[in-house]
Amino acid sequence: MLRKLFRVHNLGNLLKSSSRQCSSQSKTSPNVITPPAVSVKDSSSSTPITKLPLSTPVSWLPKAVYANVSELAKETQVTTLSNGLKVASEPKFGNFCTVGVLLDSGSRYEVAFPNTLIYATSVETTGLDKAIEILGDVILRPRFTEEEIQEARMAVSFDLEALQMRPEKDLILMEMIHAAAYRDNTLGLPKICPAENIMTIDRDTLFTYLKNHHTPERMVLAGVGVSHERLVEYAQKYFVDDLPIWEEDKSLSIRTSLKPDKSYAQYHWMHNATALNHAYIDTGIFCIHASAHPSYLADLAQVLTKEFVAMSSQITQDEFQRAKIQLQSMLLMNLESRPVVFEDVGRQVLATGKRLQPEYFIDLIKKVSQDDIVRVASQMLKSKPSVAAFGSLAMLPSLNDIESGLLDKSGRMPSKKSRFSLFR
Amino acid sequence: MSRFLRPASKFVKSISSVPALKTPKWVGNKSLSTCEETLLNVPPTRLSLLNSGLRVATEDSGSPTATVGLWIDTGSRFETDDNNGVAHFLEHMAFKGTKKRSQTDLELEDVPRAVEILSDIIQNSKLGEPEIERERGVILREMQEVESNLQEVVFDHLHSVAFQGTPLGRTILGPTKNIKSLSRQDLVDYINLHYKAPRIVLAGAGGVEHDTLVQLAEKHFKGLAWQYDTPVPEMDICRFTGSEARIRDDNIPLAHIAIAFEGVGWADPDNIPLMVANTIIGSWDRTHGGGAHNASRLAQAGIEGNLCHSFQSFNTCYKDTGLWGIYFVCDRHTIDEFVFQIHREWLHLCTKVTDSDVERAKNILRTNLLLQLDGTTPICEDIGRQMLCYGRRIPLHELDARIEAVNADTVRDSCYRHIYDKCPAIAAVGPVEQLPDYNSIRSGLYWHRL
Repeated sequence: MLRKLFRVHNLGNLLKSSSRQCSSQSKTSPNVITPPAVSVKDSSSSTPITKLPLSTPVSWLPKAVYANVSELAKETQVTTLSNGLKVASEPKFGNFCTVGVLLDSGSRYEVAFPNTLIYATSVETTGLDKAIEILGDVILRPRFTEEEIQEARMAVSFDLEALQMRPEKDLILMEMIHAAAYRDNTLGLPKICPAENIMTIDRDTLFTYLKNHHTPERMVLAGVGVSHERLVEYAQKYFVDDLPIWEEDKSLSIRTSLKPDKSYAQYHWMHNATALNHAYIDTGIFCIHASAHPSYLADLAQVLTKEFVAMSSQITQDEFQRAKIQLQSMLLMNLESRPVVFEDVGRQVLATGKRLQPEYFIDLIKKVSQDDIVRVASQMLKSKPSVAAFGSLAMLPSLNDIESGLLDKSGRMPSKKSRFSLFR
Repeated sequence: MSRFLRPASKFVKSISSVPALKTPKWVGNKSLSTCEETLLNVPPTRLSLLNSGLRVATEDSGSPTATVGLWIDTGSRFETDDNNGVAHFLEHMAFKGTKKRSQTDLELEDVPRAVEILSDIIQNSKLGEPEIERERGVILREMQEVESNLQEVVFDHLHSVAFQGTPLGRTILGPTKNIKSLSRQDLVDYINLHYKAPRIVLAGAGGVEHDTLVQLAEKHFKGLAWQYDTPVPEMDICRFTGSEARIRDDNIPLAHIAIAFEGVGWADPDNIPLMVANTIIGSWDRTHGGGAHNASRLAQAGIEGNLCHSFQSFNTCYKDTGLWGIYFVCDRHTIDEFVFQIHREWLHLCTKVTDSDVERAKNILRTNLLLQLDGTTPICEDIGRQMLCYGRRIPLHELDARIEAVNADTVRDSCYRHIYDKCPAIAAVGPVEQLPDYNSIRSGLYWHRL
């Protein structure tokens, strides 16, 4: 039985959003307040609905039939269509659904594009047909007029400009740590479009890319809160029966196809990689990201190295259990939201062809022992660290110091004194 | 485990009706006129009123997680010049430990423990002097953060001129002087005056059974008072004043400007047409795609003339008043031109808005309202907020019907009454030399002939 969990950290926000609200008090005596009662008298039949206060129920509406908790089967269904396209769906309460397509067209295949592409939308369930038609058109039948490309170039350059004016430090740091850790190969290449490339990407580049990477066997059409039969029906209609534009219109100029770069692919066994969770099939980045006033940089680095080293020593049972419960609840709470469930279904089906329910991972987390933590952490500390820093860095310790800190039993970095002492 | 509503016990006056338990499959038909029963693919919201006056409202979706929250009908509007900031201060104190628990005990727990913790927080908050002193520093730092966010600065100025001389004109954080001087006694007085059972809603969403939550509330909140020894505190009426605040600072790279009219309170019937009008103006950022094909005409104008970096139309509601207007960020040399475009759009709303404008906005509005209800926390927030604003939770099909009933005439009529030829409140921060003077903005809000 899963524990029902409670979000303490959100209550601050709950309370905050009510700060400017006030009460309506229907007073019976000056010292007694009663909560506003829902009006039962039927004043709503004579007043037009647009003149009726929102606090008054509308009497003439048809009776509502609500959903019942037990009816919702929690199960992901997967169907593979004739052309190799996988269709996956999961039911969920609500009149809205999230549908979209995930594409595995990673930097392993083409150096300049991101790893997993997601095209998704949330629509009212009645609009599913239209939504999938649009997804099909966007992914398989774009026009790429000169005008559209020009507008996209403008948006990208505004983005770069905005990034310079208010740098999103997290994003930049993630780019930097990947660049440092994976130097010259795929994961180390930038996700943000370099300014000099904006003008060189043209219609031909785009179609060549699409033809090679938007292929059905590398695609999953996933939906959360939709009926599986309808999803399959529309997938057949818009992703199988309607042909991609490059197969229909042979006049599109397509350059010789880009082959996956085998030398990279052999060395770096990346599969369905995303820079956000930093977990790759045969490698990964475990990073602690922190920021502080520039004058505290040395202390900050020291805290981080100590934390890294502390992971490989025993932690208290309480702390360990709390971390596990927090991880489990974080997993479940993230999966409350439709777009997150959608992405999870899509990514899992793309990688393995099926989807494991969150309970499976909850169980895995439960099985983690303290020895596992020590083992993994010690192993991790044997590798060389990568460091990325952004801001005023005069006080940042050198990479050598950080490395020796991580090798020290208590995580202490060499102090300045010993470094400058010539006669040690 | 039964999830059906049991007959109301003698402790509980249940004012919700037993929902018909039919099996809705995937909802297809939304047309209300032809369908006698509306199928909703959501669980019902159930409401109980305890003897103390405390209300308990839940939406049980049977999910493995749950959110429970307490909503207290109070806030900075009940403050005075002297204790402005106390409500916000108490928010900060809420998780700083209680008489029974230290701060680190307030961890992730299950629903019964969660309710116990919530009750502990509002009934037994320790309000220790050392914690209060530490929190002063935290709040002052938060203030610095707010002051470095120009959007918050503009909205604080907008409230301070629009509602000058009234509680809504004060900030939530309160002035520095108060943050430094508020004492433990101020906090205790505020709690004793306002934390009364009839003004509190316990809301739950996700894997919470209504009856269980009601029992938990009976058990843990029985200590809450429902009577006053003194007269019940009254809420002052907040008067709107058309006026302006300009803080010209040419060192700030972009101009940040808000222009707003007096809107309506939460429950006002005009709220829905004004929300539709707000959606017609829309919001936009120049890094968004779509280019000149954007549905919002103001966005089109912004793109074509490169007039603005971003804008968002807003409709902020309070109990009995509100602010309806626009906030935009633009280059110092395009303010005049963009304000002209805004005038054009507003007058369009008031005089010649079309059914197709309204239909599109209705779809967007419905989508945005319903998409928010994703996850137990947003649903719990929605329940708590609606209970305080409307005294009930508006059923989805009713919200649908209310939005559906809006047409071009309704929007035009509401906008004509709230926008056309009305005095706006204006707040502008940054290089705002080019912003037209107040009278010129005011005189652009009517036409000499229609």
